[in-house]
Amino acid sequence: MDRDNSRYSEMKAKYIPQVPPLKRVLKRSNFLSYFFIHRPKIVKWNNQSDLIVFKYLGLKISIAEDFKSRLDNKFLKLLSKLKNHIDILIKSGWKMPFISIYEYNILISFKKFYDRFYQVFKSDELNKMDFLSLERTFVALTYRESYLDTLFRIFEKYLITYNTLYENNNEKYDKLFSNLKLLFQKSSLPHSLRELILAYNVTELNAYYRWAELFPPITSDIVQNEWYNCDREVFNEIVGYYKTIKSSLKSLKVEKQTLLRLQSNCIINQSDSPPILVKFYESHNHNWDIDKSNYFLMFLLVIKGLVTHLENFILRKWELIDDNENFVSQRLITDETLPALYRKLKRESDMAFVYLNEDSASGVNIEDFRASDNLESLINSEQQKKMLTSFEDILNVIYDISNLILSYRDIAAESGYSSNSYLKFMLDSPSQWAGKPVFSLFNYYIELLWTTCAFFRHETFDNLDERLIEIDNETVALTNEIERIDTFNLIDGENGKQ
Amino acid sequence: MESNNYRLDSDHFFKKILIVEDVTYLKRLLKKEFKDLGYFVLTAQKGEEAIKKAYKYSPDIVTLSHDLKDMTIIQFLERIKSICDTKILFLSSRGDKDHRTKDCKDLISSVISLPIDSAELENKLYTFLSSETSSAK
Repeated sequence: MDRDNSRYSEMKAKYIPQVPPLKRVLKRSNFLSYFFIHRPKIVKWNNQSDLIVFKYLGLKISIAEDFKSRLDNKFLKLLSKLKNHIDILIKSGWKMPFISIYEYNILISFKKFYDRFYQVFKSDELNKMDFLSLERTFVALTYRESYLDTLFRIFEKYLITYNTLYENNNEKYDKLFSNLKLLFQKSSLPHSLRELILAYNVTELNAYYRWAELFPPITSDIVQNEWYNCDREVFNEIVGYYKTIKSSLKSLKVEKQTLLRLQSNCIINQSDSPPILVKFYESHNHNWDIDKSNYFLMFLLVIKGLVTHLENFILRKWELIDDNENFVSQRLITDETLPALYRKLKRESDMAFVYLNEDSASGVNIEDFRASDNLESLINSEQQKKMLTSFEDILNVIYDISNLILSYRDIAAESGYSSNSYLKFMLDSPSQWAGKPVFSLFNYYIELLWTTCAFFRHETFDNLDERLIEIDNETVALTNEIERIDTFNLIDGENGKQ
Repeated sequence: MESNNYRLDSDHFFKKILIVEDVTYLKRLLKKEFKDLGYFVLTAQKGEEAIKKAYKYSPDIVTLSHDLKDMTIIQFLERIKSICDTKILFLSSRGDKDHRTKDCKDLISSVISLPIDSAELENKLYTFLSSETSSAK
């Protein structure tokens, strides 16, 4: 948290520069200058605005005491209707997809103006510092016409999108915004805030200056677009949200790699007879083509074969030759996780065989099973339903086993030839494996187990193509979101440190 | 194409070499050279022993440097070739001019001059493996 706090201060200092001085520094004019040069201009201007009161035969001027009530009635109520919405936008606007960093910062300018406006018009007396502060926020917000256009566009989008009150109150809110625009208007209507600021400056400077003379135009944009001009709490939320997205992107990448591996290593072709599985099946003296007519039986026979093979692979000692041509006999898997999973598979498989009888094992052709969109529609009895549920559990265990073997394989592959035990040894027997690296055995079982899962429609494999498309879409959406909330890569990019 | 990177292949980086050699120091020297290059090294002193190992383990490369005590070079090469598709590397101090290779040039993949130049050996092996990979494609 401390690091986030110091990061907040660091980024605020670096990317949220102070608004430059917007007002010219002018001296209060002396009496002669006031009386002979400025007073006639003030009188003329005041004919319309009526905000200046002349005292002692015009020797002294002050601002009309009722100036607040003139604006108060009009705008204070208007702004109060927006209060809740402004608070929501300041707290959560950065999350809304239609609000950019630049637009959020315009909202911040509006919020500052709004707070000062309230402060000035809620107090009984006119405080000079408060008024100057209001003046500054007003000038900043109206510095470019586009700021206000943007502001009203954000409000409109927000109200439409979040459906808060706008849905049944279009007219009400249209009216609110058109009135609010009057508060910022440039034309010299009698009781606009702009005129009030001019009147205040007339009395302070004892002179009349036009708006552009008081607030000369500058070329630079005073709203910046690099980073949110937010408070600490919002900053922490943004950084937290960013980290969550980054973490999701990382998970999606890992998931995509996993699925691409599945896709590349267990291609189930149109013939529905994956060679590795057919060869494995027929090596147990079964006939693939004949047994294809019986899905339940074929599934159980495949699993039975796998249980036998995995027992050998996981639990028995293998005859190996090391890289000095020494013969050794040892288990390939030394930890206990895989044997535990194997025992679970054996238990599940034994239970599935309990359901097998003449009735339960008939009636479903493997081609129908593979083509079906609704597996339950193929089921003829309660017994078959139980078998189907049991098969799902078995496939889940097989999938878990395959992933564990894959992780052993990957750890070995990453550690390189010289340092890992799977490459330093060559298999010596049985004959079909002699001369192959231990690695080959791992790869074979991963491929065989994945192909089994794919062929018998484990859900990961069944939805693989759709999920890959979904992952790509989610990745694009999250990348765009990162781009939106951290356009200039400040949070942990080369411009920033996190 | 992207998915090709995700194949769980292993054999392409696991290569076996069978050194047929009965001169101990030369066998030790060759064994070190090949192990340093990342090969899994098997050795045999005689022709029969080499043929048995070739039959069981299917080496990718067999090296031979002189006449065998239990069979002629051509007999050995013909038998090896009938067992497995392996590359034969003949090591000779006379290089390509060695008369012993005259009748079996078709069976020998390459001749390496003795003493061994490690860089030359590595290049030859690289060429073998590249041609193997491209022919597999």
